[in-house]
Amino acid sequence: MNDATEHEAIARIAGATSREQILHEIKSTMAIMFELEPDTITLEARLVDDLDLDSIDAIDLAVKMQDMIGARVDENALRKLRTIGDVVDLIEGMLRSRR
Amino acid sequence: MRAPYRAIRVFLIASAFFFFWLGAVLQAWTLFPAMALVYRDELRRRRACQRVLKHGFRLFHGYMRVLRLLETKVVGGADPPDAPFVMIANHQTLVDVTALLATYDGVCCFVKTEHMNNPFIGRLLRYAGHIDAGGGDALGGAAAIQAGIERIEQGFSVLIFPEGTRSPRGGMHPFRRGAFELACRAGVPIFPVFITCNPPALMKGVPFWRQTDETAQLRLYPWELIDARAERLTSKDLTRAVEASYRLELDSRAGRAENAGECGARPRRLGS
Repeated sequence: MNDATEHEAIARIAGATSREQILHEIKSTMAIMFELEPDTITLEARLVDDLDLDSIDAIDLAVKMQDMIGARVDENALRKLRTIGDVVDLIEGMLRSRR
Repeated sequence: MRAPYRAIRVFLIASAFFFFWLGAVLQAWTLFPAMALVYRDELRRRRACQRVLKHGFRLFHGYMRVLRLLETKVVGGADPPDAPFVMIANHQTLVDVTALLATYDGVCCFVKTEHMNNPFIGRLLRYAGHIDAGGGDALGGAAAIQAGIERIEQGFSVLIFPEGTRSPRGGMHPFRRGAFELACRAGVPIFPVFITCNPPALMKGVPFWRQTDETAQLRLYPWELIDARAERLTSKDLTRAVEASYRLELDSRAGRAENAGECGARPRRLGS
């Protein structure tokens, strides 16, 4: 993902107001980052078992989430992530608390 | 004579670990909570708790030395830098971590989740800012690396045993990538320490009452710093290169390498 596209994605997610919008941005971001088929990135998809993310991918995801939200993702919150739905919930919660 | 001698040694080893756990419980439930009242700032509190722990670990190793159970020495090598670094080491004995934390200042260690959840020692570890290494799952590992980066940004160094568990007798488990990824991401050097213990003692899977009759000699050999950025390697390649250096040293010590010459009490350059 080039810088301009990345900044646009970050700006879009920062302005997202619904879970659907956040999921849409997560889908497009993760599809490019991890070379995944967008259709496989559903709310129920498990990060490790279904999408085959390893710990290094998970750090990349955490860094990306931090860029998107503009705040550090809590270590304990990161440990609890299991599915894409959890990622969306976390971003939604953090965006809500920032507003 | 042998049976009474062994019984006395088992008793002495048991006493060392009894005092270790007693000290841990007292610190975790009395001293550190009291220090938390004095040190309101979390970073100052962590540093103060680490200083207390360092003295405790020195006492523990001093006790084992006096009783001729285990003698710990740092051999050669340069001092670590004043700025944060990622320390790595092979994992020979149960007391490698206490030996390293008794030697070096301001170090937070990656610790197994089961230890962090232990009601006695876990509390102690959290006060001193040590890091839950995760239960082997990807998200736990990512969270641990994130916590490691945070500690480094706060001015602490981080200790990781890249094998993830204690080494098998005479060998080494494959290195995991986390320590190297952390160093690359945090932009800090790697400080490798090669550990030996002769005769082998306090190894994984060996109960404490089945230890050597001789005084175990635990040696810490600090190697040259590895500047992860200057090496221009990915964390994956760095992992392989550093693991190869450790294996070469192990082979050299075991007399298995073709060019087995002088054995390792020297700083080593990456890949040399």
